[in-house]
Amino acid sequence: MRARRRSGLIFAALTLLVAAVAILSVGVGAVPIPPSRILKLVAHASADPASARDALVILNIRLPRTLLGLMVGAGLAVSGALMQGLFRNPLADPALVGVSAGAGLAAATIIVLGDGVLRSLGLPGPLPYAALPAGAFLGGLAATLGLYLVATRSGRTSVATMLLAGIALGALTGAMTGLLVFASNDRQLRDLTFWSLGSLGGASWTKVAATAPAILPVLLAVPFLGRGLNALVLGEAEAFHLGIPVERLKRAAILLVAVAVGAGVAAAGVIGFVGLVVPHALRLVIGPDHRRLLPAAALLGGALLVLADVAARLVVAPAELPIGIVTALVGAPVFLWLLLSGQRGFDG
Amino acid sequence: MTDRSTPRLWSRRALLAGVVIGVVPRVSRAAEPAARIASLGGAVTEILYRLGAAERVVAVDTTSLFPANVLREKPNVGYLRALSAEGLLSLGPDLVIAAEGAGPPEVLALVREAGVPVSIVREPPTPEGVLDKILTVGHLAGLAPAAERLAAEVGARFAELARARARVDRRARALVILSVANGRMMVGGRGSSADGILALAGIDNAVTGFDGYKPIGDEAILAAAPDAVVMMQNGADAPSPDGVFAPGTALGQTPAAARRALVAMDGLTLLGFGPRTPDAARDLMRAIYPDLPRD
Amino acid sequence: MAELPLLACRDLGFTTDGKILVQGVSLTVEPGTLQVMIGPNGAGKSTLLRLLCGELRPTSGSVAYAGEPVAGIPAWRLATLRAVLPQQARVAFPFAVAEVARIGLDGIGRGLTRRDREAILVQALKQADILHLAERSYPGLSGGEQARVHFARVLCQLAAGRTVAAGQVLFLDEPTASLDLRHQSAILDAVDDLRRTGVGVVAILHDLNLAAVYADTLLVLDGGRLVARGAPGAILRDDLISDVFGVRWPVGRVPPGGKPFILPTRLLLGGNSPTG
Repeated sequence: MRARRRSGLIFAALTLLVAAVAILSVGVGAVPIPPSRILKLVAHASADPASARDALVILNIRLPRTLLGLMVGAGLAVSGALMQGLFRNPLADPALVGVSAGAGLAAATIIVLGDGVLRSLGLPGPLPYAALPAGAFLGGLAATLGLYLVATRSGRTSVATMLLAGIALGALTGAMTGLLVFASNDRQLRDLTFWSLGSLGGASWTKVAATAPAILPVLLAVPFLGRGLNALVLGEAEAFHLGIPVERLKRAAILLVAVAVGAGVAAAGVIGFVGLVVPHALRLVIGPDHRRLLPAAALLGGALLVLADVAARLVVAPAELPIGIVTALVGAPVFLWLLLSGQRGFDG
Repeated sequence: MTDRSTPRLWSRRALLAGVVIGVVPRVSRAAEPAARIASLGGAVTEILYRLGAAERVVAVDTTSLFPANVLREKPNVGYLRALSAEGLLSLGPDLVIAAEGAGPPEVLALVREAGVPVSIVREPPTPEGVLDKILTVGHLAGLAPAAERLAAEVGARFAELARARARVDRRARALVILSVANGRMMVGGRGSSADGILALAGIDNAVTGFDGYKPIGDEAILAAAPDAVVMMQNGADAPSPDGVFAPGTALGQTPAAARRALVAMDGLTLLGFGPRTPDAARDLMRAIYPDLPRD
Repeated sequence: MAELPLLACRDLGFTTDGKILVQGVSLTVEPGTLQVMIGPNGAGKSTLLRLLCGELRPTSGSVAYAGEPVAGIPAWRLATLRAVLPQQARVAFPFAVAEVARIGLDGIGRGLTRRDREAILVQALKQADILHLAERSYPGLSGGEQARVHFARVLCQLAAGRTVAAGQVLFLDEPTASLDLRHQSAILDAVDDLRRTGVGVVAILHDLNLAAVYADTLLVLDGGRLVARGAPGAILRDDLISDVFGVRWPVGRVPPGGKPFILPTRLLLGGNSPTG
């Protein structure tokens, strides 16, 4: 009973945190806009021409950016928790299903070779800029599909094979990306670097609309996955004994994660550590039960990514830091601290 | 670069030159020049300053390194290719003039959506490219007469340079080293801005096997056998010939080492392709051909 | 119509990588029986158990629960028809003891209120003698304590499943392996209680004496075949022990004519002396 009240309190706190961070993210930025004006703008898109720029900043820059951050953060954190449950390993991370590797290679290919290929085909360049996120998304999916096929024999998917094949695939795509880096010019190299560091800077309503159908499924699936993952913690055979359709669960989880992380990478580049650290931190606070862990990860992941984004755009304003730098700068020490202080999260 | 709107605000000449790739027309204020300009790109900023528009520049990017005080005095919106929409808008520009490659495109789209025109200026590493750039920036800033004067002046320098170049009888071959990291040298190949400045200075590029800037190995350096080495100077610490041509290194066994032929120049000056380019090319030429008769 | 057995398999066979692991096994599980599988390592006991509980698909023959082929029963319903206590189970995350046991309750059963489930959980923890460990973290427990947690989980599953299915089968894969004598006796007594309530039990045991005491039927496996089946008193004989297990340990009886027991004996035969 006490545990239930405690987790209720934690969920209330997490929800408040998301709300507070979202308000902060809409409320602050390089353009100073008083809160009273923001309220007016959000309530009814003001026709006052003097506030047209403020309206644009709030409605077309900060709002979509905040929403995109919440979605991508939630998607990454839930995906991380799903992967850790599926691989029964607290160190698993969404990258294990090959999404980032595939997306990274596709992005490098498009950045370095895209315009050249277009030219050699006699088509007018440059590539439309949707080509990069779309290509990254498809590259991520293709990599996951490849890994899945490699790891599946007669209808059973071996997560261990998938993990090892994922490491091989990571090395392979890393080498191929390296080749592309070698073939790239200075500008392409910098594009590649910035892309791989991630940013929510390009957020727009179009991006939100394109990303939502890919990330929302994993979030909506959360209530249906907790029990299965809890059973899976005991092992695949045991989960089957407990009535879980294990192969279907694995397939669904891998597909949902690939689509969500692929969309996240496509929308905001590679953002590390959210998927790894958020489930960890939460396990220390609310325990490992996936029925609580998954929804909590969605809330905390979204809040943390948006918070990191607020930092990324305030610290060096009017310029901004790549968000991947912020999440790794904060995430890595937190992760180390968890390692050293909370053995519970690792060995029990 | 992705803007499909029709340029219609400036002279036919710029239009014909195809220099300006995109701008959002703003009918209401078309008559008066922009009062607050975000200047993105080293050469763009340099030109605006030369045209006397320094007061009107309200934002620059990290590549705006000349004049030296720019980055100290003006708000910096970050790297040219990783801009922030709100960051740019927070400085309240009514015109953005950006060098080719500014982005990301989504950010520029948001800035345009806010009613701020964004003009992209192409940067081919040729004298014509420099003159077109001056004229374009001038037109955009409403300083066409000043720009035409500056273009004429720079054009005359280029012509002078061409005459000097004609006097070079035996062309030297030089290697342009952009940076050294982990003992690997990043050098300028075909079509790079380094290649362009060498050509202007009447020097052959010692490496021709690849495009753009690439890291090359020791054997490739020996095979290139440059008569001279050009390096970038960052602030006060200039590379010394003793270090660069140290015995045992690949560079130490090139013809350049025998002559101690090392030139160190400021990176933006050398490779920026702005108004100072003819002077930079002339300095480079004099450094490589010390015996060339002067005007 | 005669009542169908809880579980029946006919001519069951399983071959993998060209190796025959189980061959021609036919048996039934009736309510309120406790059958114990014995046999040497590699006899196919675990494979047979995995075939019976629906985890493996047989390469020949069939398994049916109350006449319904197991392949056609969805996993969630199968979970109400049978529970399985594994030999050992690693729990990947620091779940608390009560949480692990409760996994056997979640999503199984019909019409159970939160209070009902709480009651089932507490009852199961008590029966497994781990109520005092309920809040402890599972990975910190001893092997024997962990085994009892899984027993509690299986008890939960059976109790919840009873709200859906009338008859249930319980499979146990070496339930006593890591337990001390008191808990060996406690767990087998608890299993016997379940049998009394109508559960059909199939267990793998290595300890022939425990098998002889608790089983009403022994299933003797060797080389993937069911070589003997019957009451312990009828089939536990010297020749079976030497044929199947390859040791010449004599079978005794206490009192004479009562339950059989096997006494480990060191025989020095044909210069095969371990001394020296």
